[in-house]
Amino acid sequence: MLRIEGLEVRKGNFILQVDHFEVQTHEFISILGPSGSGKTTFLEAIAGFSPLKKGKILFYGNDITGLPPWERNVAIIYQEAYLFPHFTVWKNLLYGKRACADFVRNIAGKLNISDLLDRFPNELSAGQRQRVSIARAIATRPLILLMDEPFNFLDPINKEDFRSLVKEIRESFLMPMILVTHDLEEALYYADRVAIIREGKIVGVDTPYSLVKRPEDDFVAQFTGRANFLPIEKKGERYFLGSVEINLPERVNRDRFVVMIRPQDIIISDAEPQHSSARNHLKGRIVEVRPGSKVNEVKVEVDGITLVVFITDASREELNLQPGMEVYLVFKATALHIFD
Amino acid sequence: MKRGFDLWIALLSALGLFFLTMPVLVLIFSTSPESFFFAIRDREFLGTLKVSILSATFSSLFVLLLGTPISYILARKTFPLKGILEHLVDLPIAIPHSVSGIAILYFFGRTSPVGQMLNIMGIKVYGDMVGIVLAMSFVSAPYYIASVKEGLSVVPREYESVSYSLGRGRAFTFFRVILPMARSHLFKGLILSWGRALSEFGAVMVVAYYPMTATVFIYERLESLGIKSTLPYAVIVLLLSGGLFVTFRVLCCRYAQNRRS
Repeated sequence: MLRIEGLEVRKGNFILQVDHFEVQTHEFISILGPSGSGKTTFLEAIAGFSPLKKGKILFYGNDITGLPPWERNVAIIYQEAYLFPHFTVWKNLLYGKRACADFVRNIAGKLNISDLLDRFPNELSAGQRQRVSIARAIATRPLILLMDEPFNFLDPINKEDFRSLVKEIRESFLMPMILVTHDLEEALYYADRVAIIREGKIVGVDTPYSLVKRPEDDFVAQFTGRANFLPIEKKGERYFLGSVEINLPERVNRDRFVVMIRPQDIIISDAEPQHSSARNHLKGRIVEVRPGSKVNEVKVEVDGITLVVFITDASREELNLQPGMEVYLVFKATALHIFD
Repeated sequence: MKRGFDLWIALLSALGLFFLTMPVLVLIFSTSPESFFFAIRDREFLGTLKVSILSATFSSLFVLLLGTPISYILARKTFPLKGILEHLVDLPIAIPHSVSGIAILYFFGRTSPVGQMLNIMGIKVYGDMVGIVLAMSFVSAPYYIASVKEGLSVVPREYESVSYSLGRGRAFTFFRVILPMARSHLFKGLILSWGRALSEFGAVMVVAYYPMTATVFIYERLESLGIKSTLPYAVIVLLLSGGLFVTFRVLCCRYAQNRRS
């Protein structure tokens, strides 16, 4: 439904360039990138707030590049709710040009804000305010909903609440959405596809699974989670990490190259496994054990190269992992991703 | 050291407050009730008060009409030579008021092209309330513009973006969102400029000695009859302008608070 061709936006010295970008009807796209990479500028270009130097933006085949923001029918939600402070919630919801009372009542019911309608924004909690701002945006029946890090100011409980809310909105109102975030989990959670943006360029668009498992380059790999990069050397038809032989998922026709493996794809064992289907067993020594809130991070040195491995609390306690201990790192050949 | 500093601050503040309030307080109690009530029934004087209040009010409305767009541009837009425009707008504060009056008279007077055009339209500036309003507007506009500009510049741009994205154009957004959000500054600016206009003497006297404003009346009275006979009139002007000024301020603050700025 949304197609962008050869877009270029300049803001001072910063240049945003997007050669081609598409959003399908009902699709949810997350745009992930570090601060200053151009995520917000990209949204603002779609909404019509940043003038285009070059390129075209099309909605359902119609060129809207020259239209002012108020004629685009693109709703935007920011980190803060930006509710108009001098209007009640009800008046805020009815503010949009295409908003009508019946639809607003319907949305207010779905978003659980029906009992807040007579209140002023300064009488609401941060979570309630953001709910109202989402409702206000939906009330205009936008062609697409843009969200610029909308959950940044919410506490973890509210965030969880909003995740289900956003899913519900998608299902109830069937509108395409673009979410801009620097939070990997948030980006992966909702998205049909994730676009990675770096220094004003989109460097990868794919499904969350493919981006995590088969990233296009090391930047994408690093940005979509923790990653181990292993320098591999080919000797004859065999592949080595240092002096340790490695089994790869496929044949490679280069002498030196880098493969990636995610920390969650590696298992730690205190003895060499005898009957494992995993074809790689690397002997190493634990350098560091760092407890975390979700998983424990263990650093293991294998022939001069340090690998990060994630393990659960239960495994850590069972194996009684300590720095200096000798362990085996076990992983499948298919867990390795070879960069082109 | 710290206590010494606090002491100095307290001492100088007390001195400053004494300097600002005592002359006014002493003036209020300077006149006898008889001469006060005599002055308050003086028809000529009441006429000048009416001219002052009406002119100041028209001047504030004029400043509201022309000053608000300037404030908006200065607060919201970036363009070359903006700094120069900012200085130009503030300039009337620095110009001696008699000089402001001469500038207004020279520009809008009968001999100037603008004055001739106004004359054809039947509008007279010299010796007319129009001239008084123009002179008052000239000296009071910077106070209004500064206040509204400050109010507009603290409204985050995202409010505009959100309003646009909800399908509302520039004018709608300006009148329904941006201006209401800056209304406390708008009222403050109006009150300041109204007070400034009401108290104007120099520029007004140059442009229009007649119809006489209260300030010119008091000056004339002082010149011809001396300070003692002027005191009751001065007290009335003081109580009226001060009283109205304070009342407006209180009312506007209340209104702004009630509407949740």
